[in-house]
Amino acid sequence: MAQSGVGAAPNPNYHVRHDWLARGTEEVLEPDLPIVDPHHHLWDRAETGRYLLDDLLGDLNSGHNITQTVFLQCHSMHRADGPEEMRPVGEVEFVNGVAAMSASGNYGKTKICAGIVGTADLALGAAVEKVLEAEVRAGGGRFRGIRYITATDAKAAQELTQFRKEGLLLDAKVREGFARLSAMGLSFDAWLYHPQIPELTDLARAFPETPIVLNHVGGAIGLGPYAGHRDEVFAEWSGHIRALGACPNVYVKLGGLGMRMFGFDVQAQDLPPASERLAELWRPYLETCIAAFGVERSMFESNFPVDKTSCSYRALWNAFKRVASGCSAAEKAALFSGTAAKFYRL
Amino acid sequence: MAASTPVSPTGHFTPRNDWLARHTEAVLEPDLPIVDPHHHLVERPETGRYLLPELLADTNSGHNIVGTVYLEWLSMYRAAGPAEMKPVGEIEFANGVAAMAASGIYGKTRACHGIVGYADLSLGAAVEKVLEAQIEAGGGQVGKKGGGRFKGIRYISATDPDQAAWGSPVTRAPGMLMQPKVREGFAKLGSLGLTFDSFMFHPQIRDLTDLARAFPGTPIVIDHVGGAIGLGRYKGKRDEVFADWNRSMKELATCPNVHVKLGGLGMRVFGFDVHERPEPPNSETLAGLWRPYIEACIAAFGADRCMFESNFPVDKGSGSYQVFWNAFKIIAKGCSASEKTALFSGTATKFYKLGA
Repeated sequence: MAQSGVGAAPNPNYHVRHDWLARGTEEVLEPDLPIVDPHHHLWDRAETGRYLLDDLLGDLNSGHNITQTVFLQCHSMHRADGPEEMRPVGEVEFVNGVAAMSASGNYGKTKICAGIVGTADLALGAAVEKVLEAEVRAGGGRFRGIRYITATDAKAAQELTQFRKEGLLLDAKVREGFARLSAMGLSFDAWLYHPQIPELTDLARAFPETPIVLNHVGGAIGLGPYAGHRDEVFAEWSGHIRALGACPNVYVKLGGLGMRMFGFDVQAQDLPPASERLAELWRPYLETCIAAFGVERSMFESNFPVDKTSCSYRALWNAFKRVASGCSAAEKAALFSGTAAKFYRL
Repeated sequence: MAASTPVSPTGHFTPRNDWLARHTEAVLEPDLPIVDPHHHLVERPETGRYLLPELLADTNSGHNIVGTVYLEWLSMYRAAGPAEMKPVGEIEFANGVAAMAASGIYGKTRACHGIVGYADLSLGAAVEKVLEAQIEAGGGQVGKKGGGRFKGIRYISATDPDQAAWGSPVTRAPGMLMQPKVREGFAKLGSLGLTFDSFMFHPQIRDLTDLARAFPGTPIVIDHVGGAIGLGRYKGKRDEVFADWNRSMKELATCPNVHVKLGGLGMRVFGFDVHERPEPPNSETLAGLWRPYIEACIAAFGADRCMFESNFPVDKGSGSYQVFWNAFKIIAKGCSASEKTALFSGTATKFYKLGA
């Protein structure tokens, strides 16, 4: 679009270098394996660049067999006016429109945005219900739940540029809002950093009926004061992951490892990483999650276009296929489509 | 648009951006607020692409377009599910575009602030569940009049025995608006607080007059000044057609629930053939061609029941968005400030309840 949002400078966390990505090519592995991508965004802001239907289609049609996708909230197209708490409803309307374009069949076989995850301010307490109701209506049957980001870390505040109050998931008012989710048949996407995982475990135990999915393997930080301490972080992170995995209502999204915050720094190389390299870097995290949650509660995700800062869509799914190469057909079906379809009721 | 043939498979002119680019002109009265109450968004092989970026390029070409109303044109129908519900996909799509515009990041124009869809009125009373789904898809709630962007439907009844010979891909039965089953469906509009957009050709206007009298409580708007045909057996008989058309429009205007959209005159059916010119028309030329029709409508209906419309991109085969609104402003030059407000924004806002 000609006039993307103005004001913000391009953010390195979202800066996709198409020319760099184009330097790497590889064959698609298991091109027939059906994939549900349960986590991608659509946006058009100066800060993020543009990633709308055309851009997503370019990735979906790059060789893997993507049958359905789930949109994740990212502050896209919030209403410019009206009551503050209702502004995120605009994002659900926008995405339902994209889903309708896809459902026309004019843009290929992938059912794009077949599920929609929006956001709502849980700190509204019980009053969040009317926001959720509006989102259910705006989603035309596709709205599945919300993400409420609580990611924050005082130690790496400078590197992560995410400033939020600590302990949001322990806040009584937030939990009052959270309680509305299961009553309405909605799911919860959690995004937080590894030191915060115990807060989610506490929440999941308090609400055993609410389906919860941890995003991006629980955000093991590899930047700032955590840089150079990968083994220590891994040990702390994996302990938290095993405790969380013991909550039967919690699922995990296997991905997001292309984000800068994990500290793999693949962007510094001349060539974009091949899937072999990505699989090597990501395998310990993915395998630990699968061991803790089982394939029935694990789902691979692209987290595009955020992870597009590190690799192409083709290389990303090839990397996941390499990591899963020892799995049975049934396990693969769960990891690449079944768990996502079940969790998001697709 | 890829195709360069003057007539597209839709039977309409193909917009040719290279031809249109050969003429630009200063925008008249650039501050006058305009609500464009009739445009489409579409992407099909036979139409080319006209989505939000293409619309914005037009609405940002100099005039002060504060809002628009989306009109159905077979866009983004659902590929699967019950046949009667397929047009609900178009409302979801348009509402999504409206949400993009309402985010404010694409400028001030509230694109698709109102949405007019399609539902098959010949379903009779059973059309109600389609209309209810469309109200909800537009962000409204059934039973709460005035909520949401979905405002009503268009049900095209335009037909002529020569239509196929003109190259139109569509043929419809005559007298659709007179059918009892269609009227049974039509009756649901009023009870749901919805509007009716009618597109037909001038020999059919009396059908709409009959319908409007049968349903005096339903807000009706006749699209494209009532479709005075200038093709086929009507070619070369402009005066005769005008007289017949004008009589029918005056009769229609006696129904207080009927409004008229001033535009669509760039469509092929009107027979002005400006697309054949080596240079695209300027606004003086278009105003000269269109003035008699538009003035006759304003005289019959009054400014409070008339609204200028772009009918883009269908009309884009005959001139640019910038030139079109200049042409309308030239025609309206003699109007008072309050009449201009009505013609360019007020009537559309009131008819489609865009404030609500």
